[in-house]
Order: sequence, then C-alpha cells, then structure tokens
Amino acid sequence: MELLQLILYTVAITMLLSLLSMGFGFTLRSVKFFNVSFTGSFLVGGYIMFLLYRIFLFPLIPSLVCSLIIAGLYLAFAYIFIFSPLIRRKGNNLILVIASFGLLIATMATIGMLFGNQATMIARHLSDISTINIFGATLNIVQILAIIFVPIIVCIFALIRAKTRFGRAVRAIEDDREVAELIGIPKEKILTIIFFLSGIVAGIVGIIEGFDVGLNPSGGLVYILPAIVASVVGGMKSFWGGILGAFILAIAQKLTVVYIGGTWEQAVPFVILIIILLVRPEGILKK
Amino acid sequence: MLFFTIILVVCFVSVSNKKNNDTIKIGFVGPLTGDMANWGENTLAAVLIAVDEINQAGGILGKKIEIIPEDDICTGRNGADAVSKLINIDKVVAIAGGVCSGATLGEAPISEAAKIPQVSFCPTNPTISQAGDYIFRVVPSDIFQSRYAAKYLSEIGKKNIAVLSIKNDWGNGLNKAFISAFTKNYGSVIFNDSFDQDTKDMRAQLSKIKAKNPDAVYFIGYTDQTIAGLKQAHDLGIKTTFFGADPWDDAKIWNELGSLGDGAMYTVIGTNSSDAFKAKMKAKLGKNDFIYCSNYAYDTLKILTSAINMANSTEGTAIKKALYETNYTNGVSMKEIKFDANGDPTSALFTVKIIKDGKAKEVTK
Repeated sequence: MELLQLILYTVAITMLLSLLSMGFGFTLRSVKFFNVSFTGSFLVGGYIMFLLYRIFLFPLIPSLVCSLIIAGLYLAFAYIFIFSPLIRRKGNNLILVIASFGLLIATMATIGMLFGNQATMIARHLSDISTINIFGATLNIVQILAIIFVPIIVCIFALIRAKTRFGRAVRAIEDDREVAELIGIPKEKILTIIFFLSGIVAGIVGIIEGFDVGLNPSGGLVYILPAIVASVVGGMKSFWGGILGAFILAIAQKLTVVYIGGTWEQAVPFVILIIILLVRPEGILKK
Repeated sequence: MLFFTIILVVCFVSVSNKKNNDTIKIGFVGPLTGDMANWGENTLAAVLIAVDEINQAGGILGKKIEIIPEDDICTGRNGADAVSKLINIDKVVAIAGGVCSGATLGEAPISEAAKIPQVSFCPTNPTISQAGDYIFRVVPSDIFQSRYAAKYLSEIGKKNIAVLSIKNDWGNGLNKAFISAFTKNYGSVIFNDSFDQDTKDMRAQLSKIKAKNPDAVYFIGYTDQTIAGLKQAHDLGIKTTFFGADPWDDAKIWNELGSLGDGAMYTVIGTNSSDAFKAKMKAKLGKNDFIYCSNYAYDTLKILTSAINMANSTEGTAIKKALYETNYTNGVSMKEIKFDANGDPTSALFTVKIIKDGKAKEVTK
C-alpha cells in the first residue's frame, strides 16, 4: 500500500517537473541560454490566477485562460524588450543569463511586495481539493488532473513541433538561427511566439502548484534548479531530453526521501548534475 | 559654496545631537519586513505603548524614552547590521529585540562586545542562553517547550511518536530537545525525519509516517509548511493527532485549513493578558491581532526602564547588573519575571491549544 502511494506521488511530481523542463527547453534550444526568468512566468501565472480566482472571485476557466495569457506575455515581452535587444547587440550567453536573473529577482521582489512572503493558496477553500481513492492509495484532484493533462499537453507540443509549419520553423531556428533567417523564416516573430509558449507552460505549472501546496515569491529560485538539472541530464538539444531528465530527477528525489531521509532531498539534483557532467556532459539524449 | 554648506551641515548635526541628549534612546530590532513582518509590527506596537505610558508618567531619570526601530528581516546577517547601527550611530543605551531566533543569534555577539544589554521577547532557541552576559530574554528556551510537549503527550496517553521537523536552527533545537525528553521519560520515537525550509511537499515523509501508525505526530514547522503538511496528511487519511509548537498560533493556518485542521494541538507560551492591554493593542494596530510575543515585548520595555531607574544610570554595565537583580511583577506576560545566571527567565508559562471548528481554543486542564 505504501509502495503504491509512493509510486503515485512520484508520477504526479514527475508530470509537473516534465512540463517545467519542456517549457524551459523551448528557450534553451532556440536562443541557447538558461532563461532563469522562466520561473518568473511560473510565479506570474500562479499569482495572477490567485488574484482573479480567489480575490476577485472570477470563475475558474476564464481566470485560468487569462492567467496563462498573462504568463505567456510576461516572457514574450521579456524577449521583445530585454533579450532581443541584447542579442542584437551581440550580447553573449552570459549576459543573457544575467539579464534573466535580474528580471527574475525583480519579479520575485515585486510579487513579494504585492502579495507578501507567506504562502499564497489559490484554492478558495482547501477542502475544495478533494481526494480520490485508488486501490487504497490517495491522490488529490489537482494531482490527478496533472497526471491526465500533462501527457496530453506534451503530445500537443510534440505534434506542433513535428507536423506544423510553425514547428518546422522552430526546428530550423534551433538548428541554426542565422541560416534560418537567411532562408526567410521570420526569426523575431517565431522567437517571440516561442517565449510566449514557454511562459504559458511555466504558468500552467505555477497554477497547479498554487492549488496544490501554495506559492511563495521565493518559489522562483527553488524550481529553476530542478528544471535546469533535468534539461542538462536529459540532453539539452532534445525535445524529449528535458522530460527524460525530469523522470530521472523526480524518481531519484523521492527514492532518496524514502530510503535515506527527507534531509537529503534537495541535495539530489546537485549530485545527479555532477555525475552527468562527469560521465556524459551532453546529456542522455542527443537529438 | 561647498565649504559653506559643509560647515552649515556640521553645525546643524551638532545642534540636533545636543537636542537628542534630552532623551534616553532604546533600540528596537525585529522583522519589520519579510514573512515574519506581522510579528515585528505587532511587537513594535506593544513596545511603543509601553513607552507612551512611561513618558506620560514623566519618563525615566527625568528624561523621555525614545525608541529607534530597525529591521532585521528575521535573519542573523541583517540583525547584526541593524544592531551595529543602533549601537554605533544612534548610541542606544539598550536594545529590545529580536523576534526570530536566527536573527537574535546574529545580533547578540555585537551587543555583547559593545556591552549594551539586549533583552529579547520572542526567540526560543536554546543556544541563546549561552549568548552572553549582556543578553537576556523573557521567554523560555525551546528546551522547556519541548519538555512540556513531551510531558503533555505522555499525559494524554501517547506512547509512540513520529517526529517531523523543519531543517533550521529553530526546528533542530526543538527536535533534539523533544526526542531527548520523550525517550528518556515517557515512550519511544518511532520515526524521525525532516524537510527543507523551502519545500512544501511532505508526502513521501507522511506516507512513511502513515505506515508506522504512531499515536501522535510532533510536527515542527512554520505557517507555510504546516498548511501544506496538514492538508497532505488529511489527503492521505492519517487520523492521528498532530502536535505542533508556538508558530501554530498564527490564525492564518487554521483559516486556510478550515475544518481540515480540527484536532490539531500545539504548545504556546502563555500570557497574563489584561483587557486594558488588549484594548490598547487593538487601538494602536487598528485590528484585533493577538500575538503572545507582544505581551512579552511590552513587559521587556517596562523591565528595561525600571532597570535603568534602579541603576540610576544609562551605562551598559550598570543596567546589566540591575537586570540580574530585577523582580518584575504583574506583567501582561507573566505574573513574575526574574532572570537566572544565563539571562533566561526563572519560570515559564505554557498552555496547550486545540483546534475546534477551525479556531484555536485553550485546553482546560
């Protein structure tokens, strides 16, 4: 019974981390830098949802759509006003990472000032989040929805990437940005859309987290590390790499808690990162 | 032109300094921003109420008391900076504060080295007892809170306890003290694990606890982790009693959890509050927000000023000596406060509260 419960929990966490890594990978593969402000979208999506759904008492689906659009716009505007100008001025990757850190810190501080530093729960009543019994183990409704919808979302993005014109343009840009522009792909437009989609994905995870355990402004920093590690471990160049990395990381973390102790849970991403960098730095999946 | 301006500024500053010698300056240090800001705001209000009363009665040694507040953001590093500023720039004669254990442990060495007495009214970490000759507190150390919790749990028939604690100074202190007290006298600890300060996912630990089936769970955490942890425990169907420590006195936890928190119990430092004091706090804050540390903060100011009076001096060493001889009675925190050789209070007042219908009620013995 305990085993089934642990398996279900690990699956739920893996789903969330996969989504996070996938979204993080969008900007990692296309613009080739660690966009740390990705978790800024995570926070923006979650907190706007809190504002609309719990403070203004708007209905669930409209609040959800609005929050995700705003989360997407946050990263899209970040690209238009911060990253694109820096790239045009030949800014190297280090400059872009520092700029994204600056944006993230500013976002976290602003959210802290507006909403306070204590946990913010999106659910109107915690008792709204009911639990479902699965052969003796339980999961709450948020986790179940995550387990059902995350694979669907991942498949949608995989299909977009493989079958649509937009997807082809994305793959061309990931391959070589300059050449893609030369053959007529509207680079700026496509990249802005990529950032917008990346923001939406982060926003989804932020909202799920806000319903499940609550949001803190400091959540921005806590979540970016697993996303980075999962991407590096799974393979930075591959669409499925981040997802594979998320599986490995989530399973390793939960196994550590069960067999070694909760004290070591946060050390696991670091240990795995060091091992992978020593053994196979390009990550597990190549393309 | 620049030269003139400099001369003017210097004159102005020395004139204002002369004016400032008419007051006795006491520093206040606490979390005025950050996630403990509520506690800082509340205790500062209590301190200011005490100062108003003292000044209206004529002040101390013929002078008015002036409070200079500084923000330690509940961290040792900011606390050390704040106290440095209060001592070196504002030249305070004593310091009231801090609120958080980590912050106070950062502040104490600075006050101790400068021989400025510091009396704190909220931090409960045991190591503060050894922080220095000039360091005092009116609240008891966590060793007593854990011992009280261990004794209480045994009295209500809990023999096998699971312990789940937050990984920081405060959590580690309570964890060690509780396990030592409980295993020595009352029963066994069948599970002991912790969680990181930033994490709110305790499901793996709680699953293991559920499998062990303890009589009670001693759950040491602040507001955020408690809300998440108790919800997760409820989802798992863990029916056993959850027992916490004084941060559970934050009404936000039980407001968020609603009926999910019913049955939880926690120790809290008791107070000897009066209606008059509660009314003054409500007037000062503009809301009805009760935090026990404020009662202790109010008494701290009264104790400090009466020590200055007793010593007939604002000199640090004299105030310190007077503090060791203090016998303060009829306070709003405890009926009697005296300090032992470590600067800790000689007696402690604890109560247990239980959650019923989403609200905390004192358990009557």
